[in-house]
Amino acid sequence: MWSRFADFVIKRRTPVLGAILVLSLFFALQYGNLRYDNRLTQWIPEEDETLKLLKTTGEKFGANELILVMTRPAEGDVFSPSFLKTVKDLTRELREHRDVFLVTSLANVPYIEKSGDMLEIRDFLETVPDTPTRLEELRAYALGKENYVDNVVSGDGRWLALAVYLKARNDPIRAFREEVLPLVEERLGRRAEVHYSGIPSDAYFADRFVASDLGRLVPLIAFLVMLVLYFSFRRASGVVYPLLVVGVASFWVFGFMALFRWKMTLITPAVPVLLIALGSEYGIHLMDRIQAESSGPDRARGVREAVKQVAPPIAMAALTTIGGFLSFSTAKLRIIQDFGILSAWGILFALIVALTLIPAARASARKEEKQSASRPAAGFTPLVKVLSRAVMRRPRLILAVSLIVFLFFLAWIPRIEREVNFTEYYPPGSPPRAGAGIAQEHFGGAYPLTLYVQSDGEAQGVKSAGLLRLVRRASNLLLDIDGAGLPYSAADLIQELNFQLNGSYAVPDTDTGVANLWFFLEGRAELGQLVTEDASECLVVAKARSAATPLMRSIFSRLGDSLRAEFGGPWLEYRPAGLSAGQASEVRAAEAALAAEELSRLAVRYGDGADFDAAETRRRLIRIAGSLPSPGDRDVLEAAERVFGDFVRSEAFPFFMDPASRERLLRDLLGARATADDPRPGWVAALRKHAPAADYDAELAADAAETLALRLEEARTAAFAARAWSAIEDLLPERARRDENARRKIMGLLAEPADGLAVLPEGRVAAPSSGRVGLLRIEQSGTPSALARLDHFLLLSQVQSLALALVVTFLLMSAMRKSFRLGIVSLVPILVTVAAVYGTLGLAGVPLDYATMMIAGLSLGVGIDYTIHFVYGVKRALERTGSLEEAVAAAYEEKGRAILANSLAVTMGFLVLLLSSMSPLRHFGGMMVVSMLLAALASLTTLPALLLWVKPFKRTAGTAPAPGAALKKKS
Amino acid sequence: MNKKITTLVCLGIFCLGAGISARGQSAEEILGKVDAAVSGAAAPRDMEAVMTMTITSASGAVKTRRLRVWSQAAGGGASRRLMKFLSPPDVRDIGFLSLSDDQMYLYLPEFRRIRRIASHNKSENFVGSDFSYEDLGASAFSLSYAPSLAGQDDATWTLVLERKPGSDKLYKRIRLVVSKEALLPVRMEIHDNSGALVKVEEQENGRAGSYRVPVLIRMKDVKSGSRTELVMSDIKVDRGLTDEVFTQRNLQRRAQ
Repeated sequence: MWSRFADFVIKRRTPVLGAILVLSLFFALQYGNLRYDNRLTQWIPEEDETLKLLKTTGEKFGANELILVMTRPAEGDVFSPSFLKTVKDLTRELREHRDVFLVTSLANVPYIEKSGDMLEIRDFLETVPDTPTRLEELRAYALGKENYVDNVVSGDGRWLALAVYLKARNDPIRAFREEVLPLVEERLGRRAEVHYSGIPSDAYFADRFVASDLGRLVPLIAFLVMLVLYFSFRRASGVVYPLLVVGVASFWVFGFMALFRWKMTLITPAVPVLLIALGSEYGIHLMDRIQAESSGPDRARGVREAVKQVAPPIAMAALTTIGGFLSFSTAKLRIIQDFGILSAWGILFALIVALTLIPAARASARKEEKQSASRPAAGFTPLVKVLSRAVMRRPRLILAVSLIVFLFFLAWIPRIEREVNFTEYYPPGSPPRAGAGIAQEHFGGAYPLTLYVQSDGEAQGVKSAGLLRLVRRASNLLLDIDGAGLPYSAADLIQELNFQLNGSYAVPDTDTGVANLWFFLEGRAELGQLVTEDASECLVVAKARSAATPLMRSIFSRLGDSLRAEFGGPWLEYRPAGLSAGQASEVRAAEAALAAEELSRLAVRYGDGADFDAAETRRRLIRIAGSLPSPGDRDVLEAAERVFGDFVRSEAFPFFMDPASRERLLRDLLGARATADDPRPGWVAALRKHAPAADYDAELAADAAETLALRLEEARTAAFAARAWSAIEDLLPERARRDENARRKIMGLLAEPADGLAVLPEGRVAAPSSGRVGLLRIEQSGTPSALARLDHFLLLSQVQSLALALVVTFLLMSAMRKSFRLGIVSLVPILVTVAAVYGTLGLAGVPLDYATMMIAGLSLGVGIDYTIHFVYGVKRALERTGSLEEAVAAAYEEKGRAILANSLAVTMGFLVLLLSSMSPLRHFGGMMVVSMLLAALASLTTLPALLLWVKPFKRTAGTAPAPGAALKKKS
Repeated sequence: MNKKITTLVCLGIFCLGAGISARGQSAEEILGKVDAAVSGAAAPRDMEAVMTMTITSASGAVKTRRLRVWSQAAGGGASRRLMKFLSPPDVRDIGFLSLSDDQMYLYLPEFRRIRRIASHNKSENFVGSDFSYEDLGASAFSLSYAPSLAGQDDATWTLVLERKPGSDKLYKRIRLVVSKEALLPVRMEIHDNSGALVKVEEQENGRAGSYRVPVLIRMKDVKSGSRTELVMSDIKVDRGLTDEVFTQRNLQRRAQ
């Protein structure tokens, strides 16, 4: 078959060479479609639920494509008018870009404050102050707001941040490169220090590093391989043709990639390096044979003979290498799948080009090349002789040493760490590493950690009081998670508004109350990041301090467990006012217990991890919940007097009365009337008594009584919260006790057991509920879940690809040699190599990442080539000599140098990767160097020793000619 | 002969006068007429109507709100306004009272509280619509803007209004198209401080009694793509609304 193939190529060499040229032109035309994509979220399988949720939160909330732009002025203070104005203008300009979903900075972070009876809700920097006093007030205010600090301003007030959320649907990397980066550099570049952090900016820099690597490494490896080839062949054709093969194959591979719109990633630079390193072997072996067979005048005959001899082993070698690469197609990670399939195609191209271009070109060559006096790769002869002698004399010792080596390195494999965090891949001091460092130190990180909340589609959606309390509860779970920053959600906005309006940092106890407060927030830009337009879904947003893989795994695991434990079952709403005294008491006690849990998380977080007696807190709160304040209690009456007075004395009071009359009315409203079971009729009577007769209106009086009832209820709730605080104050860590934000939140929590709504897990109490909370699901999303999934898939891909590569290689070898024993024998040297390489990862602390996980499959696919060639050499020699020992010795003679020369060429290629900008490629290159050298050594030690011990061949004597025998016969 | 000359001279004077009167209205005069029709002598002294507000986001999501609106001219081109929400149920009885540019109040019925809204909130959008609080006010243009006549056709004048120095109005420039017949705006192209076009308002005018009043106002946010439509119905004018209507007391009364 191969003779006929060789004849075809030689006879039609001009069309063959023409076809190669045409194909090359075709692929060249595709190059304009080459693109990068280093967004690691794109590598997760499409069908994965984590990815689907990531896409949902990205599209609906712009939550994932976050770029944190961190800046401080080169000179002067952050809180200077000119710098603040620049940041304000930049915020506005960025928001206007079509690819930007939302921008939050100090300029537009919500400012919600009450001053007297006036409520302000506006952007923080509505106007930029220009007096030192006002600027100082601004700074003090900003640094005192916990949702500003670590978000838009650093805790030390020296850095500002703009959180730029890009639209997920559009290309975030292009948006960063073409819109965000130029604008920021234009506005800030000259006058400020600027850093970027976040996945889109990290991916942008990765693209640049990848491009730089491609430009630097490919020519370098080509040069090094040229040197090796020249050293081996000592002639121009020995260099040109193998290099031409891999050059054309690499060119086709990138054109192929562009044709199918596959994107280049951080491991793409390894493809041409691999092709040059591995594919050159086919040209080397073919040129070596052509040189040996073409010493006579009939060049074509020599080429034909060389093809006939070399094509089978190099085809087998290519097939097994392709099999090794194709094992990656089962990997769950797209980056690995694409790399494997692309490399497989590259090897196929190299094989096709080698078996067509070289024979066609050599058959066409007119000039007689001077034969080199020395044999190819003669420099390796002494080493081959040493290895041959050692193995032939002591095969069992060699096998014993191989076993010890195998077991030693196997023991280190469990120590291998995994690293999927992109930031760690960049060189130290590079923009992404610097940005990540600033983000971590000053802004609590730049990696979104979110909780996605979906309502059951009822009318009010997440604007339900019950559901918002659950959102608040879920967000407080994040306080327990190490490495997670302070969460923020629509519940926080509502609570803040409620505090400013009504004095209580709590979610109101009615849906209408929430809707009333929501009214203030309608149209505010930041709401778009927290709630969907139809209010059926919302997001709790926080940040992870870093994206280190162990932290990501920990957050994903702990948060997942917490969410499942909390929200695995339905939650119900209860209205204590509609229950019997006993039932109401049961409900309040259960609610107090739940409040104690949330309070514990707040206390520990604000107390910086100080000791906190959660159990005692719970006991005290449950006890307090058993006795609600009465209207007649002194603290309630004192509060009622204040709020009643505000109402009666205000312009909004429904009756026109002089001040003295109002005071008399006030006295009448308080006292006995207020302590009645239902004080409203008494209040109506008081109004009728004191309001001018002409002005009196029964409907207005009833309405005023309702207002007073509401105020009294608020006073009772506030009194309960104050009593609860007094009961547990001594248990709180001091820092938490003194922190205003902590106090506000804790007081809000403490008020809820006394208000009109309780939200409890189903089955917690026997009392009848007023309905289910409309919660469908709460799930985590963001960087931790993405990286945790990537980590999981990395491990899965590693195991799957290794297993598949082993099976495929074993089957191929067994089929080709029609012997299972030979199949197993062929695998053993590779297994020793792979164990040694992976054991080295564990020993040296080199992490398993997107690149190093491919070592096993590649080592199998490449290392098996050496085995194939050596076994082929043994088999051919066995057919001549009939003696296994002589056959092994002959194989050393025939194949040893080529194996070593080839491993050196391959090693040189991988050495080049040590110069890569990205650590995965450096690790990969280094480990592949070790792997290739070990594979060559194992094929020349373990393999021959195993062949001598196992004796897997059937003896057939005298059927194969010695190399060059055809030439000698003719002459 | 003399009679003929006299006739010709009169005819000539008449034509000249007609020509002058056709070209003669200055931008200030036109704007003055608009102000009078919107909030001055030619405007209703007071008005009560039902307003249906339809907010369509850039993605096409639609929210509809119904309000009852009362307004009263307050002199000097200013006006007072009271709005109470009728639907949907979650915003029913929420009230908004505007007494002047820096006196605005909001009533939240669930909490039975009135809160004054800070004056610099006027740039904020009203309940998520594309109208800011300032847009909903009805102060005279000429108090804050200097007009120039940019063009006219048979039906309309086009004025360009430039914000006067010292004015605290939000918009730097407004291109105002005025109906010659109604003397009311039919289109406004609104530019922000950087000169960029940010909003476009279109207005259809109708009749209420002897007055011309806006019956449909559409505001489009050019950058975000969202739009809001206000449809006025059940319009009653000059009902002699008392000052009591525009008080905090009345603000907290239930909407009828």
